[in-house]
Amino acid sequence: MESIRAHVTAHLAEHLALLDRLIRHPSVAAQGRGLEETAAEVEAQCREAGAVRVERLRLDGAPPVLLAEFPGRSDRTLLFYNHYDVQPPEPLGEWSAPPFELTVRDGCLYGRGTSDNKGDLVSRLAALRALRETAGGLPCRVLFLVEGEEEVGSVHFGRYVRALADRLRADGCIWEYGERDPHERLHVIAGVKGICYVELEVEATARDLHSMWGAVVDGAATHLAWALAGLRGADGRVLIPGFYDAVRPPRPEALAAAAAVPLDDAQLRLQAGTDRLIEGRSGRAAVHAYLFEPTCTICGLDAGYTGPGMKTVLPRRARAKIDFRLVPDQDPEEVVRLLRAHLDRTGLRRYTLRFFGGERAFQTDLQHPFVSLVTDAAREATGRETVLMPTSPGTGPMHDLGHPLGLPILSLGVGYWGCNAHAPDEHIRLADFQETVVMLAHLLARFAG
Amino acid sequence: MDTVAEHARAQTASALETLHRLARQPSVAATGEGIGECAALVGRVFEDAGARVAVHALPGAAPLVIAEFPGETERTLLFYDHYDVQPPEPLDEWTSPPFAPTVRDGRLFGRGVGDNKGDLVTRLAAVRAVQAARGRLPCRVVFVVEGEEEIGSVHFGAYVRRHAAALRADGCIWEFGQRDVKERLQVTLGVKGICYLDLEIHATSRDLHSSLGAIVDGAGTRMAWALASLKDPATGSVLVEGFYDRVREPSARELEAARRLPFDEEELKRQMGVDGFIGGATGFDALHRLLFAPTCTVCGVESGYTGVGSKTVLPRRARAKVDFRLVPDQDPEEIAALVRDHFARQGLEVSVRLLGGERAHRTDLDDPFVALVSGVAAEATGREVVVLPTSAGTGPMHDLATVVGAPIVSIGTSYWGARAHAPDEHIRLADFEETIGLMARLIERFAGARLSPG
Repeated sequence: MESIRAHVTAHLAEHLALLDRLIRHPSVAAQGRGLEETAAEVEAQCREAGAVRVERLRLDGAPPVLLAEFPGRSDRTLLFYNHYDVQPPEPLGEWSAPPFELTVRDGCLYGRGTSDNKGDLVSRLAALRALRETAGGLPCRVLFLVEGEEEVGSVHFGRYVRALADRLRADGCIWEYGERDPHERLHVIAGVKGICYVELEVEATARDLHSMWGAVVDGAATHLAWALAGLRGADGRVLIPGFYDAVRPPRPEALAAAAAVPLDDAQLRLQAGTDRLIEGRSGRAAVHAYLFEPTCTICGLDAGYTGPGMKTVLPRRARAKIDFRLVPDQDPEEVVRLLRAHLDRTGLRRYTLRFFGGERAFQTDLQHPFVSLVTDAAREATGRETVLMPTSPGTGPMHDLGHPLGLPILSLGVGYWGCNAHAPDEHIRLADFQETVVMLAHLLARFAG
Repeated sequence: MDTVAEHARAQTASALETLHRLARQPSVAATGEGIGECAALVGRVFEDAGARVAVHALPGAAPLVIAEFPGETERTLLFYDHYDVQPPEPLDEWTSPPFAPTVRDGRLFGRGVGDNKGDLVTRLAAVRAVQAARGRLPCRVVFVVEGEEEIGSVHFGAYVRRHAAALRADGCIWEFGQRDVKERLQVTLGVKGICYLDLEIHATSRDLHSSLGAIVDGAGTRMAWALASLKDPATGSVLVEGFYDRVREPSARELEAARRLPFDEEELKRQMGVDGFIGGATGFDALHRLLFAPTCTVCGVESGYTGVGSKTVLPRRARAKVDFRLVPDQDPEEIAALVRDHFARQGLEVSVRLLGGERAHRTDLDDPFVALVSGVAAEATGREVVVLPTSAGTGPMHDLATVVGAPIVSIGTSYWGARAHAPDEHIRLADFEETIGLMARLIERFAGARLSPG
C-alpha cells in the first residue's frame, strides 16, 4: 500500500490535469450540451489507463455509453459504474469559481462534476494506473461502464445494459460515489432510492390577462399552487391516493444496518443547512425517513412576471418540476398514473404532465460476502471508521444493472459531507481524492484474492 | 373649417405622429427603463403645444408633469394620465417589437399605445382643436401626468398633496375608457384599490440535493402551500382572516347602475379562454364580483430550476408576486399586515413586502359632471353610453379625489380587444380619431355647464 501511496503523490498533478480535462467539458445532460465530446474524452482517458477494449455504444440518439475492459491476472471481474454527465451549473452568480474548469483552492478541488461524478471516475483510473505501474499489472479483470444520462434519470441506461449484458459479466460492482460524513467516517452504500421526475404545466386562460380579471378568473399560478399544495402534507406524507400501495417495508437486516448508522438529526440539519426539519421527522425518525421514505419535492416553479417591481398580470401559464424519490417496489410509471388520476379528481383542468424519467429503487443483499470484503478493504486502506448504509437517500440506475445481472453493488468514493453536489461551488477535498485512489487499489488487490 | 369637430378630425394625423414619438420611448416603471427620458419628452410635447409646463421631482420617484393651458374662465378641467407602461415581456409573443409602434389593419400596435399614451395624446389634440376653432380655450385645462401608475402610483399621493394648488379643478377626466364588445362606450366612475405584495421564502441556507426532501421542506413546496392558503378554490373567497372586515357594500344606486350594465358573459369567457368563472358565478353574480368584490391573484412565482429538462434540486428560495384588488374601504397597508399574520398563524415563514398600495374610490353617480360627460360622449360618438359605477381595475383616484375634491370620470380611446398589459397591445385608429372629437366637445361644453348639484 505504501508504494501505491507514493505513486499517487508523485503523479497527483497528472491526475488533476486529467480531471481538469473532464471538467472543462460542460456535459450538462439536462441541456444536451457537450456530451459527445465528453464521452470521447473518457474513452481517451480509459485507453491511456490501459484499456484493451473500449466500446462506445449509441442507442436511439441517446448520449453514448462506454464499456472499457482492463485485463488482469485473474478472471475475477470488478465492474465500476460511473457517469460523465453533470447537473446544470445554474445559478451561475452563486459560484465563487468558474463551474467548468478545475480550481484548486485551500486544499479543495472546485468545479461542476468534481464530486458528482468526474472526480470518482478519475480516481478509479488513477488506481488502475498505480497498480499497473507499481505491481506490473492488475490483479483482476476490471470493467468500466460509463453513461451520460445519470443526471436526467438514466433514461436509456436499462436498454444499454440489456444490449451489453453478455459483456457485463462480473462478480461485484462498485457504484459511482461515496462520502465521508461530518465525523469523517467513510460511507459504503448498498442501495439507492428510485425516482419519478415530472413537469406539470397548467394553462388557465387563452392569454396573459390584466390582473383585474382575477375577480372572475383564477390564473394559472393560482391553479398550480392549489394542485401542488395538495400533493404533500406538512408531515411529509404524500397525499396522492395509492402512492404507498407498492411500498415494501425494509428488510430486518436493512433496518439493523440503519440502526447502526451513526447518523442523527443534528448531522442531517447541518447537511441541510436548516434547523427546521419536516414535522415529526426529527431524531431517529429523520434517519428512517431519509433512508426509507419516498418523497415529493418541488424542484422548480415558474409563472408570470418575476422581475423587479410590479406587473399586474394574470399569467396564462404556470409550470412546476416535481421530483418523487421512490422506495422498493414503487414503479415510476405507476406514480405518474396515480398523479394524473389525483389531479383529475381534484378538478385541475387544461394541464400537461411530462414524464422526464423514472428509475426504480434497489438494495443489495447485505448478507452477500462482497459487502464485508469492500467495507473491510475500505477500513484497512483509510484507517477510517466505515458506515454501511443500507441505501442512499439519492438515486441512480442501480436497479437497471443489479436486477438483471444479479450483481451485488456497493458505492464508495471521493466525496464528503460538504461537497455541494448539485449546487453552486461543488467541490471535493484533495486529500480525499488521494485517499480514494489508494483505497481502490487496495480493494482491487483484496477482491482478486 | 368652422366646427370643433372638423378641427378635431384635422388634428388626427399630427396626433398620431406624436403618439409614435411617445410610444417609441420605452418607459417601464417596473424596471425604471426610460422613465426620466419619457417625462422630459412629455414636457416638450406640452411646451410645443403652448402649455405652461412644470416637471416635478421627488427623491426616488418618477417625475410628475403638470401642464396648464389658460382659458377664458377660471373653471378648470383636469386630465389625469400616465406616461409609464407595463413591462413588454414576454417579448417573443409580440407580432411587432413593443417599442416600435406599427400600424396594421387600421390598428396601432405597441406597448403603451392603449395604456395610456394614446389617451394622453387624444386629450392634447382636443385642446389644440378647440384652440384652433375658437382661438382660445373656454376654460382652463390642466394635465397631471405621472410615471408610476403601473407600479401602484407609489409617490402620486405625495405629489398631489405638495402641488394641490396647481391641481385645483372643477371636474376631472381619468386616464382610460373603452368600447365594449357591443361597441358601447363606457364611462367609468371609480376604481378598485390594490395591495401588491412581494413574497419571499428562504427555506435553507443553500440549494440542496433533492434527496433531502425526505426530511426538509424546500422553498418551492412552502411557497405552494403559502399561495394555496390565500384563496378557497371552490368559492374564490380570500382566506386571510380579517380581509373582508372593512368592505363597504355597494349602494342601492350603484347596484341599480350595475344591473343596467350589459354583460355578455359568454363573449367574455371566449375572450379570456375560460370555461367558467370563479366559484361557478354566472350572470349578475359574475358582474357583481367583477365590480364590487376584492380579489387575490398570483401574478408571478419563481423557485429553483426552471430551465430545460430536469434538475434534482431542493431550492433554498422562492419568490412570488401577489395582487389583491381592493374595494372601499379596505386599506392596503392593513391588508399587507393581515397577510403577514395569516402566514405566521400557519407557521409559514414568509417575508411580505408591500410593493404598491392604493385605496379604492367611487364618484357619486348623481354628480352633474357624470351626466355632462355621458351626454357629451353620446352626442360626439353616436354610441350608446354605459355608466360603470366602478372599474375592475385600479388607479390613484383616491389620492387625487381627496386633494382636488372634484368629481372624477373616466373615458377614453380603448376597446374590448386592446390587450392592455399583454403582448400585442393596440388601439383602433378610428377610436383614436373619435376620442379626439369627444374630448374637444367636452372641453367646449364643460365651460358653460351647470356643475354643482341642486
